[in-house]
Amino acid sequence: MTTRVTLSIRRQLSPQEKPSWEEFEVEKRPRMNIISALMEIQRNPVTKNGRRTSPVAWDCSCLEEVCGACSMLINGRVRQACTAFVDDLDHPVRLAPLSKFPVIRDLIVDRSVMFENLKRVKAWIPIEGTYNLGPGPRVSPEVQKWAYELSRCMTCGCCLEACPQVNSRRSFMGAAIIAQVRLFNAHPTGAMNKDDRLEAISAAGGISECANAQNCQRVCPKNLPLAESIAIMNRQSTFYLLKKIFHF
Amino acid sequence: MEAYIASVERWQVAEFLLKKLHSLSGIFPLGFFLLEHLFINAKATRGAALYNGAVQSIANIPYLLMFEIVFVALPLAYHAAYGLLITYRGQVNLYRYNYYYNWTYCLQRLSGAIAFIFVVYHVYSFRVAPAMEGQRVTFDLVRDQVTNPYYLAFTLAGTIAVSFHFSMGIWNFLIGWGIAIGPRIQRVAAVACMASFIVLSGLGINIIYAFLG
Repeated sequence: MTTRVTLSIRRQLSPQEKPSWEEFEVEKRPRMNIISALMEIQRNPVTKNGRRTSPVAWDCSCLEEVCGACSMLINGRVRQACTAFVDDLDHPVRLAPLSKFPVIRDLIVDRSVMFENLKRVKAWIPIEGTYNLGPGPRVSPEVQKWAYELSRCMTCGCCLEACPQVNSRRSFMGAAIIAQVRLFNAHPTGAMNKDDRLEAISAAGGISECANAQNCQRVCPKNLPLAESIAIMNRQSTFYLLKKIFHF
Repeated sequence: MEAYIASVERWQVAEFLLKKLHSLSGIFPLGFFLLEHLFINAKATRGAALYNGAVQSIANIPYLLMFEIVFVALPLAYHAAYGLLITYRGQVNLYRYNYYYNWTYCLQRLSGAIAFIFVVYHVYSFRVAPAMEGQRVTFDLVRDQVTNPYYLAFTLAGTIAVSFHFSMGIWNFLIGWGIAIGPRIQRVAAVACMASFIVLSGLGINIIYAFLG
């Protein structure tokens, strides 16, 4: 039995172009996901009513929900295309690029703002020296347990996409970045740059933009403890503020 | 609006502090004032004489106007202005992400906006206007106002909005200041704040109907 699946895709060939919708129909195969449906369209870029068009562009890499590249809006909700199975979705399937990032082409967006913000908060551990610094301090298994969770963040952008505080009027760095600050501040070596990171998240567009809608936690494909991480960073940044005030 | 936003951008460094103070001002002094206000007005449930006596004893407080300006008017103006700015910067996405805390996020903004309109009128009609006319606020004056069904509906809506905004504001304060951290305590706090909403709005409604006898 062959069944066909209709995909309605938001097309935009360049960042300047006005977006428009195109419908495609592909033959459904067992365990078909959105990526394989898009590959089908790429092989034969003809719309549902028979018009030849340009192939749809999208981003993907790992195909196992660990890289975050294929984040897109599937039936209006943000998720990864590789783990979105056609059988589980409402039809016709509507695909659109993430709305909180600039579109490069079709379903491909530029998420470099997240990388810029990771740099802003120094989301790394400085280990470079002019001589061998030797092995770093040990991390307790209790810390490792949640730190490992947070290290699984793939910067996919779902938390920013679902956040009501991230929009064209305001640039909030988002839950992913704040969770990384928690991760690196907890590391014994990373803690040496704790205040630098707290300073960065206390600036405009930082943690004070959070208004506790907690959509981030609900949409995170890695189920990271984002709300808890933001609350902990609220505590750290509050103490940092008090420290700044009373040392003024 | 854009020019106003631009001037606010210059305050970037102070913004974190401004947001913290916005959250704090909602609890102290505004939340404390709200509780005191409800406590005094609850005397209306024990008759006009007790209520009028309570109003008179407030009017007799030395340096009353200074207290009103420092602990009510200024924090209220700041909380309202900054709150409207925060609301402008948000974007509702409930239709896509229909979650509990996303609802409370939206309701916090809606109740804040209703409370803003209500409080402006409320302060005008029961503090500014009587003061300018040299009139004293009495049980009868309040009763005359709430007998108007439109004003009654407006007051009920305002009371419910203020109760919600304050109660959910406590929850936001607990998280924003890093007091409630884990998911379970945040849930317990949300339940407690909802209970506070029900109690405060019930109390407010009861007081309003006390004026109608």
